[in-house]
Order: sequence, then C-alpha cells, then structure tokens
Amino acid sequence: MSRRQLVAAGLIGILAGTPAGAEVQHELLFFPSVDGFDTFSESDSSVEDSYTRAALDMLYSFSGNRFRLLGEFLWSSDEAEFERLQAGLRLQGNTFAWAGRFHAPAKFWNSEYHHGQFLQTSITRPALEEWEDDGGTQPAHVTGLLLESEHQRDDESALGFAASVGFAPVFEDGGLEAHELLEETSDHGLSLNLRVSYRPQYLSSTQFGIVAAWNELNVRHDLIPVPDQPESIDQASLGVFGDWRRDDLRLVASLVYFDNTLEFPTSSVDDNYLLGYAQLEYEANSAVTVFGRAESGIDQDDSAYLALFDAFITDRYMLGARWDVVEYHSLTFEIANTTNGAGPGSSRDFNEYRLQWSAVFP
Amino acid sequence: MIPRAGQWFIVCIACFIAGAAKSGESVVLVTAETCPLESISTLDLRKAYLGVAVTVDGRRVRPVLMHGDEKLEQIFYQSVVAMSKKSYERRRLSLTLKYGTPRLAVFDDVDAVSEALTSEECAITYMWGSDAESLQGVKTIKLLWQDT
Repeated sequence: MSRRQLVAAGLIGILAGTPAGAEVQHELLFFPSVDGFDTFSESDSSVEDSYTRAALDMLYSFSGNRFRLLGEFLWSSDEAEFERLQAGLRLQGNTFAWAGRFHAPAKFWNSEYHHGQFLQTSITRPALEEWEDDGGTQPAHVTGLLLESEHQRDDESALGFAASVGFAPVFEDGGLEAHELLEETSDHGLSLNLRVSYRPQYLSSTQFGIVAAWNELNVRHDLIPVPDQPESIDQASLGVFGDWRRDDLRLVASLVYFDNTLEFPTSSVDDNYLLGYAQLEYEANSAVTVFGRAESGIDQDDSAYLALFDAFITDRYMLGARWDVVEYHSLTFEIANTTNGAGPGSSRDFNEYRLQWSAVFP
Repeated sequence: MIPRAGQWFIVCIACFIAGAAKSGESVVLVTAETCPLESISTLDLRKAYLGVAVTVDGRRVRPVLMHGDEKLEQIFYQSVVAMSKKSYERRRLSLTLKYGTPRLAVFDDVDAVSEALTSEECAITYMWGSDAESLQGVKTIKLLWQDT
C-alpha cells in the first residue's frame, strides 16, 4: 500500500470509527490578514523593498468522543497549502496522540499561534520562530507522530509535554522545504522534537519551559551544483522559553542554542550559535496594546549554516502598536531596525515599516 | 446648591449602571432537572468554561454560553471566568487553533437555551434568577451573583 493510500485509509478509519451516537462537533475558523511592508536604508539601497500580501488561514476541526481531525490550510499571495493536517486520538484525559503533518513542538511561538495571525500581537514573528517558507532555519513542519499531554497537579499547577518523531525538511534553493504529507518518495531525514512546559497556575496563560530538537537536514542539490554547499546538515538545538503575564504586562521570550554539523564531501564543519528574543507587551486599554521586541544572538553573524540562507535576520529591534478596532478585527503597525545576512560581507542593515489588518471569522 | 454639569453627568452614569441590572436580581447557574448534578465548585465551573474537561459526580459537565444581554455577560466574565471578554474570547479561539477543541455552544434566547439544557445531558448555563424560576424542567445549582 502506498503512503498516499495509507493516509487516506487512516483518515477514513478514524471517521468511520467514531461510535454511532457519539457527540460530533465541527469547527471552521477563518483568519484573514493583509500586510503592507516597506523598507529603506541610508547606507544600502539594494535592500529597498516593498510589498502587500494577503493571506487567509482556514482551520477546520472535527471532534468526536475520542477522535479529532485538524486541518489548517493557508492561502496567500505566495502559497496555498495544507500547513497542518493531523488526525488524533485522545488516549486519556488531556493526552492526545496525533498522526499527520503538524507544527514542530520545539518552536514555542508556532505552538502558541500557528498561522492564526489575529491571535499574535505583533505582525512579524521572531526570526528564530520563522516558517520555512519565510526564511526559517529551524524546521517548523514535521510529518509523523506527535504526542501531546497536559497534566494538572494537586497544587493547581500543570505540566505540559509534547514530543514528535517524523520527517524533517530538506535544504533546497537557499531554504528549508518541509515534507509534504502525500510526498511519495523522500529525501527527508529524521526529525525529533520535544517541549516540556510548566504553568504555575493551570488556568493562567503564564508558562515556562524547555524546547529541544534534533533534525537531519538532507541537501537536495540543484541541477547545477552550488559550490561550498554541504551534502547534509545535522542540527541539534536546546532552549528555554517563557510567557509571563501580570495585569496589563506580558513578556514572551525564548533563547535557543544550536549545534550544527555540516557534512561536506571530504570534511565536516561544526557550527554553533545562540538565538533569542524578548517581546514586551503593554495593554494600555481594552483596545490598544503597545509592544516591542529585541532579537539577537551570539555567533550568529558568522555562522556557516545561517550563511546558507539568503536573508536570515540576525538582529532586529522593533516597536509596534495594535488597535483592536472592533471585536475580532485589529490594525497593527510596526517599525524596526533590522540586520540580515549571516555570511561574511553579506550583512545588511535597514529600517522597515509594516501595517496589517487581521481578523477572525466567524 | 445646584450641582455642576460634571456632577450631574456622574449621577446619570451611576443611575444608568444601577438600572442596567434588574433591581434585586440574581444570576444563577442552572441545569436540567434530569441531571443528577446538585452543585459545582467555583473552580470546577471556571475550568469548564475555560475549556477543561470537568467531571462532577461521574457526570461530564457541558457548559453553554448566553449572549445578547450585556449585563449578564459582564457578570459572567467577572464572576465565572474572572477575565475580560477579550481575553476569554482569545483563549477560546486559541484552544480551537491549537488542539481543535470545539468552542462552546452560544444561545441568546432563554427558551432556546432551556431546550438545549433539557436535550443534552448535564449541560449548564447561567441566567437571571427570575428567568430560571419561570422555566420548566430546569433547576438552579449555584448562585453566581446577587444584586445588593
């Protein structure tokens, strides 16, 4: 049986397996957004760029007594694809086993907001948390198995756990290409992800935790081989994250250490760096939130791995404001000083402005 | 002495807020008479409305939301989930986005919610005490708010 047939059989089996008379619920959510982006640099006119991008993230969930099906399809000016398509089984309490294509649990931001732009305060996400299609350097989409659990403790705190095993993206054309759910054959290596979180109050949003991952990133070579391109990359990462809230203040932060081994035909290169960000938000009133974020790292400027990516953002200092115009509609503005390019001599510094409308229906 | 315009304004606002609640009214938590549930703790109630699966006396509690009455909604956000409407709505959306958790059923009509309570095992909701008294097949299991 082919992989395509296996997936289809699995989904049909889950739907058919829902007991007669079981409580079945469907949810359909739409997260539309429109972004305007402009940039300028006094020192380097080559970075000048601007665009307008529209996106519609569609989320569908099917929920039976123990079964869940979750699909997230993103349709934008740049792409149209299933970002997530996963079928799950509730093992007990708040423990779910999922199979399919899902977001790598070792990326905290993505696990919180997925593609639901309206739910994140800022327009941009930190470079550390970026999607593969937008220049992300750590796998964000994995096809395989995911186990998620949250356990409430006697003192009303809670421990969360998410672990996955599956296919990692490949490196191709200067970026990562995630595994597609129905891809027949695969050059994709192994991806292992882990996230452990602690909530001091089970019902509160404040949480802290660790993230860890190991990814085997195979390189899919162009027809015309690019010089100095590795054959494969082994990436190990270990980090911490926190989401702290008190009254009108919120601080979201993460710090991740990367250890990459780039395998060349006759040698290997060890490459280490640290990336981190901290975003502070202040809810001035029920409609307006002001925020700022600093992103930087250690040794990221001369990383051999990050230099493989066209324009990885190595530093960014951003300020912004969000106005929740009416219920479920917001306007957000961001201004930032950004530096991208990790290779020798490729660093570029510029300023950027963004404006976004985002919403959720129904 | 004639009060200044600002003082009159404050007096008018105070009267408006006081008048928005039904005088001497209460908000209660109700379920169907057929449900064996007799009470529920404040913490379990909050958990249920925040998307946590709550079982009381072996019965799964199924919370239902009432919309359409602004004062009743305000009392729910303050007394039951202890968060702003904005935070609560974000949390519900977030659970659906993360885990596919179904959102709670919403009703804006007392008769319709009454029908939902009696047709679904141990569904619970909040309503004005006077409305609860007038409904058939529904019992009060908790006092949530009392106008003093």
